[in-house]
Amino acid sequence: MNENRRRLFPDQNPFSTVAVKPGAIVFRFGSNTGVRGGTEAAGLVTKLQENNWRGEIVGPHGSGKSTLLQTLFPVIEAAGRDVRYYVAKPKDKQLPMSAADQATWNESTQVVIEGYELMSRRNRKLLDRACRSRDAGLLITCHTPQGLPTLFHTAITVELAISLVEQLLPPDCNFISASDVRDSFARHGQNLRELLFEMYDLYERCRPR
Amino acid sequence: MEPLLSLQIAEPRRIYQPGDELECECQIDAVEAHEIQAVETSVLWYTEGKGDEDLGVHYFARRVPSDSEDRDLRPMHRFTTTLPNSPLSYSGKIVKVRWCARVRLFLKKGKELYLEQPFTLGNVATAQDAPS
Repeated sequence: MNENRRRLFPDQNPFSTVAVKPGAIVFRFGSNTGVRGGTEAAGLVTKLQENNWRGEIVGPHGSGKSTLLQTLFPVIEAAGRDVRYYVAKPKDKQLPMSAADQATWNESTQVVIEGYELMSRRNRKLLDRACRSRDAGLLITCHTPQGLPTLFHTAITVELAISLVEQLLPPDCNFISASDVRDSFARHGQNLRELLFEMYDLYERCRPR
Repeated sequence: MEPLLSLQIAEPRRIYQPGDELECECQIDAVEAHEIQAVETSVLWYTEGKGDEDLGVHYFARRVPSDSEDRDLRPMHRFTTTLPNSPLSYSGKIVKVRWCARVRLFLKKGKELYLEQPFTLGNVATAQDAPS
């Protein structure tokens, strides 16, 4: 969260949704920051292209799949792709896009589905057929491999969690420490989202009023 | 050089009550008039917290160069709106309700900048810790 926002709103919680939602934090690659895999965004898009614009990002809940997508979108668009982003919803009987929408897809369309596993088997087949028939690319996020070329496995380590919390906290904050993050990580493991929720509550409990 | 956006709220304390009139002035500088595609001014509230975010636009105006006699949107522009009864500003532990005036500048190159100035609507007390 930038200094300007802190100045405008002194009661700002650095772990509020506005500061931690996908896109607000840049995805961190590389073993030195705790995320396994050293490929940068441009390299991943090249890999996606080599796979005929088909791929999957695999990882557990809250491990950064959506954040990685938000980081990749501008790079995919810069490669000339028209990104169409859809979010699958639980128990949704329909595809997450209309037939009219599908009719506008072509060979430069990059269909992106968040939460692919929430779609029924039938809808996954329909989607695959719709993409193939229009030569559109397909990029998905999922918790377990779904048969597309794997682009990236997201994973959170305690070092990454500590580093992100330190990045979000105001410089003068002295009431949340690395050991708080370690304790929370022990409870939530790979789920960074839950860890950041817990940091939100801790910040509200401890901040001076 | 980045274009400069200026947005001033008339009341220096920035504390208003429902039914009060909010008066703002905005101005744009360090950019050529012909580079500006549109300027949007708005007064809105939004929530901040650990859950889903909510937002409501109370006042909105979009100006394009043809709205100005000399096609120049840079000079000082004043806008006013009467503030509603709710939601009132609130600083809670789970959620905070923010009010702000906002100006967004759209340039022809596709670039976009914005500036917001917060203000307080009403006088709801801040959430306190329960006594131990």
